Amino acid sequence: MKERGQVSHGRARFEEVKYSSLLEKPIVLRGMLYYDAPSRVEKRTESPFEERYVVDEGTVLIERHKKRPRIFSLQDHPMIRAFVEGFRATLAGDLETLQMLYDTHFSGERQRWRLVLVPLHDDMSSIVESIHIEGSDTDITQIEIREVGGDSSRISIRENLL
Amino acid sequence: MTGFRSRLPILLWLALLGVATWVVSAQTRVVTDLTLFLPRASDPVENLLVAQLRVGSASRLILVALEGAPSRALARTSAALVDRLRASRLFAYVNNGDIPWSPREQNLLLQNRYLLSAHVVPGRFATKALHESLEERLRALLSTVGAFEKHLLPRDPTGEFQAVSQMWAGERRPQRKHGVWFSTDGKRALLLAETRAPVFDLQAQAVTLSRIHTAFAESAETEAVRLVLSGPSVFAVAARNSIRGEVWRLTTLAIGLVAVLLLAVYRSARTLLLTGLPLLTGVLMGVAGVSLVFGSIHSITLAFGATVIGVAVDYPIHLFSHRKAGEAADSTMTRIWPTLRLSVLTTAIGYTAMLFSGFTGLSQLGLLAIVGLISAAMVTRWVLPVLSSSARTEEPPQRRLSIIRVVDQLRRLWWLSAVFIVVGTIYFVFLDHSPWETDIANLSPISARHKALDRALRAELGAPDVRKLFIVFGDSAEDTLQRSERLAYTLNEFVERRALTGFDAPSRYMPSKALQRQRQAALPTEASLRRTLREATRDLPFRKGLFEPFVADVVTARTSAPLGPADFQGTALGVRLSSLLFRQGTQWVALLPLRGVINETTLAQWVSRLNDSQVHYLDLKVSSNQLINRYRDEALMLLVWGAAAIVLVLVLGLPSLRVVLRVLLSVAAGVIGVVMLLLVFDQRLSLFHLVALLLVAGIGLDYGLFFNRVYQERAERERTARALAVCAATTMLVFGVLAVSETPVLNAIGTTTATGAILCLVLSATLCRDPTISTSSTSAGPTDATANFSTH
Repeated sequence: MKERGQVSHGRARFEEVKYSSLLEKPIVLRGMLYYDAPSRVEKRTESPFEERYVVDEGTVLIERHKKRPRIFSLQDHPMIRAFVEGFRATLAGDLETLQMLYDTHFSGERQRWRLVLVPLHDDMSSIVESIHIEGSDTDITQIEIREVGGDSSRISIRENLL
Repeated sequence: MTGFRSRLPILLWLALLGVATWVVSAQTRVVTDLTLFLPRASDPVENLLVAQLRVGSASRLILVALEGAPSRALARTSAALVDRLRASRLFAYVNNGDIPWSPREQNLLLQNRYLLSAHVVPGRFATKALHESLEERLRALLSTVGAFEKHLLPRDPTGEFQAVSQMWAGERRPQRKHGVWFSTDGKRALLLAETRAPVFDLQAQAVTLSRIHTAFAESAETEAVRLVLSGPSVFAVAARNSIRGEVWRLTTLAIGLVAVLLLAVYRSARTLLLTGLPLLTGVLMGVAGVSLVFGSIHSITLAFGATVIGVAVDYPIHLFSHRKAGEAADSTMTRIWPTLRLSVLTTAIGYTAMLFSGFTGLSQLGLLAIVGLISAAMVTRWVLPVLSSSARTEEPPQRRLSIIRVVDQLRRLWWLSAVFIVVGTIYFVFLDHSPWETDIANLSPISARHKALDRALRAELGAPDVRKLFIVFGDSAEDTLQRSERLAYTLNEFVERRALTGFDAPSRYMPSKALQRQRQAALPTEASLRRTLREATRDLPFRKGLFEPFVADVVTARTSAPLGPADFQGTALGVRLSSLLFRQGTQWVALLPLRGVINETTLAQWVSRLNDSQVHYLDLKVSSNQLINRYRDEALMLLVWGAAAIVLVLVLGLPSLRVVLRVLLSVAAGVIGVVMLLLVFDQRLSLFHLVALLLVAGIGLDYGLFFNRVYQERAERERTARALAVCAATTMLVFGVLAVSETPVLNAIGTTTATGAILCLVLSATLCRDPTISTSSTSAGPTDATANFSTH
């Protein structure tokens, strides 16, 4: 975790598989992830549609399918904040923030570790059951979000481009 | 003068005092409802204006700011404070931005979204539009925050709930930080609270405010956090407290000064105490009289009335100052009584006109003054002589300054009153501005700093600073809402043409039933909805049957009963709605507050072309000023009638028209002189000045009448001059003290009366009776002008 905090930039290709009871079949999304320590994370989906999702300090910007971008404050949306910090604090190695929002379980070894986050607060835990983050050394290789009710989303980080 | 007969007045007086004390202690209710001092409304709009001033939701708003500590501490204090205030049940609602609506309210909006959403128009559920909505939902679902957007998707794929709840939340909200509202600079946490108590109920407001302070003390996370409050009720309570404090301080000071003066003059504590008796009796009787007739007394009447009756301190001064050494008080009284009686009668008659005022406050004041002055005079006439039989008075020693010599010097200036009247008249004719205070804001005791703070908080909170608005009347809620919808339609055009930046309307939140039925008609039938859904989802990966809840809700909405305002009762939504749509008597009223009116002429022209008696455009500030001006004009009219009555009594009561003229001339010159001086020193006249002018007139009459008595000896002239000098000195002391007050009301009364008293003293001296005539050898009977009527 501490070493993760020393990584200051990151760029990676991702592939995300969404399993939703609302959908007939899983949907695969592809795009890029960017990270600038300690607080800027950008997720840019390229297919099947374009979405830009930027978390910077306390604001979130969502730009979807050529529409006017929506910007809102993380403080206005405590649930989204908890959700966002699940990735961002992990990327930044910010254990303190993580433990404020989640029950954290760390297992495995340096080459292949696994971090399980279980939301502490009611409003968040009514939607998200747990977040599983897997990695090797300072790299994160996979993030899986398990929602209450069985839906889930698995983000695999394919290649780390520095 | 011994035995029962001489004690009768005392017994009667004591008995009446007993009754009055009982009435005051058991019956008198002091009310603080400011609207008693507002005129009776002449049309529905004014009626509404007064009602809004009394109970309007904007008038009950308290703006709360927390400052002085780091934002996290402020946010936590804000959260704790909101919980405590909500639990207190003193507020219709309290909000710091934490959650917009309760689950019950959310459910209400969700259930009725197809009737409430403005997006429900024909074509909304056609294949192409539905396909677009669904594609948009799919992207939201697949997005990073999709988990939070999915729960309503099967029920509400067109996003009507979001549209409705966003609209109810309002357009202008403060920014949030740590989950609560903050000012733009991030230094103040902001809250809004609407009290249940109306703003005029100052007692309840004071309780509410102190509750906020205790709740804050319990919630404040650190010592550093400061609480800042603003809003109409905060101002009202602060004004009351500061006026109360000031009245108390100044009155104590004035009484102390007057006591020192009277002690110096009479050198007798007993005389001093006796001087106070008529005054106290007058106030007690007056208050008892008003409570018996009106059932209650307004605190302003009480404060004003005490000042007005304060003039009654002159009556015992006349008695004691006219008393010769060794003379029985009763015979002194017999000597001066006709003049004193005329003075009291004319003053009381001046106030009679006020009895007929349309404003309860003014008629109360009139009654209080009349009862108070007359009973003070009666106590002076029949009670004081009995009580002061052994009280000593001293003939002024010869070595003292002979005041009458000064008066005789002043007599050479007999033309002074005429000059005042002529110059004053010319001054008024050529005055280039209105002599009246036309902006009631300038009468408010609120400091400019507090007004600025209020504006700043209001702007940050987006709280309605309702100044310009449309008012729509209707026979029923439905009728009013339909009118509001038509008006809103036009106003939208004005917004597009940039005549104004925006507006609010009750019909936006609560559409009329007619409009709700139109929306129902725009909803597709079950069969048609299923068909379009099938086509719209053909190329989308949604699970089969996912949108069954949507179909069910649309089918229900098509036939459900339209909503009315009653359905929102008891919710924060209802509170919000009731500030824009409410019942007033048999009518319903919709308010459409405007924001950023850029082109008022366009609006005004449109309204006048509209020629609809049910739709009114109102500028609240202008209208309330007009209301106050009408009030002042009526008061002015009453004063004119009062003056006419005074003239009539003088003509009947004085021996010759010459004397009447002399008295009137000095009084008129005194009043005109005061007004002129006030205007020269850049004061604008208000209602309070008018009341004070009535006071000045009463004082001037007293001086004029006494200076015009018929004397038998030079010593009596000296005594009269001394009595009047003492009277004027006490008046100057009392009102001079009030004049230093920073409260506009007290300042106005103080300045006017103190200036008026000194002017009237000098002017009546210049017009005093020629001593060469007064020493003519009339009979040894009562040496009063009235009694000499036949000899002239």
